[in-house]
Amino acid sequence: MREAVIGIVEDDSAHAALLDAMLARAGYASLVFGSARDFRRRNGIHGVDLVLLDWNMPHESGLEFLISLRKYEGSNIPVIFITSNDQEQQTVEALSAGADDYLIKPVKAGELVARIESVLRRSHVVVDTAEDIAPFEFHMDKRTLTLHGKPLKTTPKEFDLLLFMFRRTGRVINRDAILAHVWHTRTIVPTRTIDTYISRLRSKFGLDGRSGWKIQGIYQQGYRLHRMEEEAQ
Amino acid sequence: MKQMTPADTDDATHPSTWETCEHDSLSVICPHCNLQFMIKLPLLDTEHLTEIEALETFRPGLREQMLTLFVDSARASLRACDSAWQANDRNDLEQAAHRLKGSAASLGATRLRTLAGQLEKDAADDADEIIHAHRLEELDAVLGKTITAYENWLDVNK
Repeated sequence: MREAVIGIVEDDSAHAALLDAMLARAGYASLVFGSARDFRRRNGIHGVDLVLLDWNMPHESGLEFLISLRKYEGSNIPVIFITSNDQEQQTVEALSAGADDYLIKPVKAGELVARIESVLRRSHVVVDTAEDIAPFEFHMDKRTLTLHGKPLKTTPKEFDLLLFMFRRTGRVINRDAILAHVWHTRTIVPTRTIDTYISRLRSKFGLDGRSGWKIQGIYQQGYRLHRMEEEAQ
Repeated sequence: MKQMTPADTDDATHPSTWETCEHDSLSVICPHCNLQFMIKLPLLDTEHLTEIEALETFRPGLREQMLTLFVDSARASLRACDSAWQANDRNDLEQAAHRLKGSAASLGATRLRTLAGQLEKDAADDADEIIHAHRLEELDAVLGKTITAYENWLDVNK
């Protein structure tokens, strides 16, 4: 499983299903939003690491949505347009408005994944494991975690969830993204299950402040993992 | 053979008519000099179908799901094209044709995508040009053929 969660904002259900399958094959979790409005309603900004954006959508076009994200909402989340608009002028408009890349439908799976990886590399949205997350340390080869050099006993789900959160330190992560990435589902697991897991992580790994890190619940949005000194600032 | 008029080729000096045949090709004929362009325009892009087939392992049922979703969206777009055409609303016609083009692209429906794109372009560009009703009929016919071709592909690849 790859780390990033990809958001698909697309009103054409067939195309959304196709992109979702392409991403699944590449090992990405994805969340599908039928419109820009749906993305906002479901708090997509706190669920995904990169957005694949259609241009022509009802109520709010992809371009209007992008402009709003960049200009008024201050978000620098990476955005790749995937559209049938094949005119140079539209490509220029999209890139000028802050899009990170622009693809014409129909997209090929190989190219799509390569573009996503390229944009993710440039934007550094997912923190590398080499980043300082002391006193914790992930050992990816053995899928183990240590605290102050001492091994911690984790279940596979706990390990995945911890890794997912540590790679997004300081960012709000919503439940949809956790479900998609860690449980590989969107609807089957009750959200209460996540709350229970988070609660367990807090007490079991000292993520209630004792380890220097804290998982904070953000009302109606999700969770945020951060260092204690960041809270004090 | 069905004739569609008017339409433009990429070559502005040769305003043309479009003629479709029962095979994979679409011929574009200039009514002035009678120059004929042959364009290979299959109903479905086999490379794209192979891609959908390969994804079936990761999303079981994707092939059938794609068809169901495509039929719904393409028919809705075509109905919107018809309503816009009847209301003589070129802006709505352009948008509906664009949606149809996008749906066709998702399924790899090459011919439908091209014809929808042509309609979109004509609605946007040729403000004084009449868009004849049988262009929509042609789109409807190509949509039907596309669905049949996809169903045949599903049958063969069961």
